[in-house]
Amino acid sequence: MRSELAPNERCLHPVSLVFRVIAHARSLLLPAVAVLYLGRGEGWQAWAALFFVPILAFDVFRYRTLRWRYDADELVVRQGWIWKSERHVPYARIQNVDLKQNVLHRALKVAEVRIETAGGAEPEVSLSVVSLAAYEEVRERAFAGRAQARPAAALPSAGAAEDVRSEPGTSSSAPETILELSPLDIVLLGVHPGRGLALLAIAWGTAREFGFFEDWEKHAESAAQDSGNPEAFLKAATVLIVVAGVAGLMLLSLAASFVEYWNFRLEAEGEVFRVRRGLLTRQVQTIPRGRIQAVTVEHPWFLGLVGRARVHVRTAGGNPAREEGQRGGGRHFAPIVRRERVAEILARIRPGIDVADADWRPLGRTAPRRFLVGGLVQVLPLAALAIVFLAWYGAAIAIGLVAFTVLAARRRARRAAWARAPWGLAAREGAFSTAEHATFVDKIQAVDLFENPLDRRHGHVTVRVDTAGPLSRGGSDVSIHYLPREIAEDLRADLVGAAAASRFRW
Amino acid sequence: MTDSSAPDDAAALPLDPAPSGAAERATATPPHFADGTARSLERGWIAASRFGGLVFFGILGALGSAFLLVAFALGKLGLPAFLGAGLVLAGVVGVALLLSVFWPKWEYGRAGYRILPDRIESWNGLVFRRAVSVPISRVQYTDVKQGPIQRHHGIATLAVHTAGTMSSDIEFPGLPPALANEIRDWLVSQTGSDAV
Repeated sequence: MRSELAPNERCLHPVSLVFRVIAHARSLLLPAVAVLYLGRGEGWQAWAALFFVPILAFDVFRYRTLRWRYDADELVVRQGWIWKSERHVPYARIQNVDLKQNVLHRALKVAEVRIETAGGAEPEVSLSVVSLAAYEEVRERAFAGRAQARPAAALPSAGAAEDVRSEPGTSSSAPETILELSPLDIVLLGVHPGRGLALLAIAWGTAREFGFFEDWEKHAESAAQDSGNPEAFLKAATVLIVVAGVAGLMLLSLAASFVEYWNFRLEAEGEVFRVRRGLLTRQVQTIPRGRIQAVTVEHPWFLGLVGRARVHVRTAGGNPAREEGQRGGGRHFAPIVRRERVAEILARIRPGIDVADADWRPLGRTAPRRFLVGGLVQVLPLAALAIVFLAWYGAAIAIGLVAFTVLAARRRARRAAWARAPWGLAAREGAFSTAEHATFVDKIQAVDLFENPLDRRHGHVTVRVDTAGPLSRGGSDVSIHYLPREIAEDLRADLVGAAAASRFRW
Repeated sequence: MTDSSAPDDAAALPLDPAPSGAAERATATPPHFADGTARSLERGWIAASRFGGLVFFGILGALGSAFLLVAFALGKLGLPAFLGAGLVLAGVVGVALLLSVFWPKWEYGRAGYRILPDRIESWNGLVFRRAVSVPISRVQYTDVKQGPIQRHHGIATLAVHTAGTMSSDIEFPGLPPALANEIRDWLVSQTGSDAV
């Protein structure tokens, strides 16, 4: 039941069938087990499962009807047999082309390819699975349009920028490695405390889900009764379990880090960045340079101790429903990099955007008070609760909390700054871990001013710069809090004027 | 919007903000409304938002009292509890209805818009104030919306969509319908040339 394959059309790799069946089998496994387990004696549930078989078969065969072709300026994807659909994806709208290969994919030398377009609501094209040669073709075709049209239109405005862009020789399309991670880097990412906490949360949640804690309490109680000295036994057991748990998590986190970042390589090929990584499942993300909407340089305190930082980029592509690590294309742009190299990496994204070197300006005189109040509002109720419930211990905790908050607020106020540069706007935030967010004039979509009653009393305004991106996302847009009103208004007029005079391309 | 401008589109990266678009626009004389004066909304906006608030809280109040009455009639609620809950409900809904009457009038003085040759701006909010400014070259598409109540009060809402995230839909409520249409037509003529 295959539709006619036109000469210039491509289709999925034949082994796609295997992966479709596996995917469906996996999604059906749990309900099937449930049906078999619960439905003993009653036959009808088992028969109900049969109802899904034709649907599955239909879906699997529908998958076989996927066809695509490369037109002059768009990718045309056809699918369907009874219900036909034809999707036109202009190359100019393609944000990233991602490749994913799990172990089975690798064994069969095929890959899952996803083409992300701008706008979170728009469905992206997913080709599962194609040969590696087909992936190379998608990648080349999707970004070739840009390269070809380049000389013609680059003449008037971008000429000057062009000269600074790169040293001679790098503009050819030979891939050039920008960043590789050493085993030490991967270890550092693995022992990173933030990461450990996330894993702890997952482990705790899983353990609770499986009723681990109730079982443990029961066993511990009976063991404690047997041991003769219940109290000492419980204490020792708790300490032992905590230590073992932390050590186990550390190892788990290390292992996860190796699985995720092994073979990490950031390379530039002409106007396109490529990020490869993964020990078991290999992932390749392709990010066109011009599609980068915003950049973040993070200095987590832990990485700061070892002289390293992290660079994220954000494109407009990506479905917000997808897992955090995949969102917006470039969370893994440079997950860990020596601080001295940050400027070089930023210059590759756009010449001259060295945020460390920008003309940073502090917030208003009264901003430190706002940071302090903001921190205390959050921590004072906690401190009060601690005192009420834990008395003297609580008072000590409360004093510690408040002291820490004051210290953090002071650091936050000292670090907070903003910079208006010819290329765009940057903002810095954070107390112990800091981050610099930057976006570019030609990517600015709108500039908002916000003012709450407390802001009004201090003459403050929050400036927020809106850029294109997936509908929900974490922290990459540039906003400046507690900016004096007049400065904020001037900044907004300046930014919007500059944005209005520039062209936006996704 | 994704039409034949592909070669132009796929062109050099905008490393520097290219002033070409602005230069083109500057030659055309801006329309009469793009004069940069701050305008307040139409008076009809007050009545329309008042009506919306009154209907919303009226329905809420009616539902609440119906619920209480049924509970009382079925004997699930004692007389003191019924009276107490009724008083609280009456108080809350009463305050909400009063605010629905006055709030739009207060907010009216704080809301407005301004159109310049290269940007459109709107501001609103009484307690939490917000002011948004959109470069015209970033407008993806525009709608003029008018519900029955708005039509009755002779106002329309202009909705401006950008490729952004948090401010991707910017609404300009309380515009005279004729002006809203004029602005929309102008925005379409401005953005059709160089937007993606």
